[in-house]
Amino acid sequence: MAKKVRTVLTLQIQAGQANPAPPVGTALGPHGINIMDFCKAYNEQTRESAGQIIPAKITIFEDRSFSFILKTPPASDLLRKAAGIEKGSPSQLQEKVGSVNDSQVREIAEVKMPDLNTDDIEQAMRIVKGTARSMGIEVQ
Amino acid sequence: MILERWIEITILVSPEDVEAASWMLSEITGEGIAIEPQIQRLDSRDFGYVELDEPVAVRGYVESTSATQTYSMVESFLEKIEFAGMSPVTMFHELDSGDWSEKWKCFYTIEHVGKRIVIQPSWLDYEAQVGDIVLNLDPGAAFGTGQHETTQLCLSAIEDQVQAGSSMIDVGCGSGILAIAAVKLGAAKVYALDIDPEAIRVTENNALTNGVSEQITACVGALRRAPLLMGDARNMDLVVVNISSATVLDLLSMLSKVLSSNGRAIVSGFLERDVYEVEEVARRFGLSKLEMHTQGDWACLVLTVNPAPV
Repeated sequence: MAKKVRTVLTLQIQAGQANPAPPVGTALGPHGINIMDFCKAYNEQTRESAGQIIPAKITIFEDRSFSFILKTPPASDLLRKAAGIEKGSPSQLQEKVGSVNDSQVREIAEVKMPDLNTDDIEQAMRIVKGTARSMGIEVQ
Repeated sequence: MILERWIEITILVSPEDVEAASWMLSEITGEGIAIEPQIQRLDSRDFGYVELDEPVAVRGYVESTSATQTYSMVESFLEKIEFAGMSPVTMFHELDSGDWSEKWKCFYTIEHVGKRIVIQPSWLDYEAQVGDIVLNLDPGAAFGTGQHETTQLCLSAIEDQVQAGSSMIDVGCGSGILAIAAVKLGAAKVYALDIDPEAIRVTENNALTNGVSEQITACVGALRRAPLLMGDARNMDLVVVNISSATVLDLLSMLSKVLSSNGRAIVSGFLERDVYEVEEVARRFGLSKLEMHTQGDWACLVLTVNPAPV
């Protein structure tokens, strides 16, 4: 049908655990999106990835219908797992909280490549390293 | 029920800093986050869009009871994170409390379309009048909620063209709204096609809700597969294509192959400015304009198979 796009947004949420609380309700509700319909579809499609953050990129059309595709986990989630860091507390920002090596960065960059705006692995690695720096993770 | 009050934290950052800002907000809120880029809708036939290299809104949410603590955490994170692009802009906004699993419904009402068609979402009451054709339809993950101009134009055209016992193909069926309406208006058999398997699932569910499953066959596929899907498909009374001018132009050559000699095609999903081109190409493939209807900028053409030369 005449799928003219109203807006596009990405929700970064725990696989299999979408519910009407924020951010799902607050992001989709104002666009008139059937929230339970999204939650059911997202949870069904991500139930085998429990424990991971699986972003959903949602396209909202002019008639308030929607479609979504799943994306690769955020680099920060992959870095945290690679560095063996538990979900952090803000105090961790004070100092270096862990480290990853170059081959771990490469692995993460390869996972993220489909969603990064580049085909160049070196460029993808630079982006992942940038995220690591922001998080206080050292790249060795 | 989610009735707590929430604070929405929005951080505007350059596209390259979205990962860092997302990480920061998920650390602070302990919850998921929403990312909204700025887009530009393209003036193209397929209604595409591009994401702009402009600030992206990254949003996180905390219950308002922890607002003060949250403000200071955001400040302290922002001081320490190195952002590659612009300096981030932060905004805090208190949201109205409310049950988000219900609030989205406020955008919908009972919709009257054409002469007799009524679209009724499941949570709204409606006392049907004599002659009403009521479509029980909830909006969801497939285009065709009934709100869009092109859906309404096609519904009206189907209302005019369907006769008792008609056969129809609905190409790009989305929610199945047009197929369901056709059956409720008297069509005996409707093939609903869509290349998206999710649309087929939604169409089947909606057909069941409306008690028209027996008359609707929903299949994943494009029009060129129609003969495979339904045996001899060269005898359809109606074909409806409500997609885009790009797809309509692509499919025009197929339409006269699936329509009966008295068949009609209802095509929409394009703007009024594209009508001339659609009409021209249709004529090349043996279809001529019978009617044109418009609503807003959108157009719908009813085409008829040209009589064979004597």
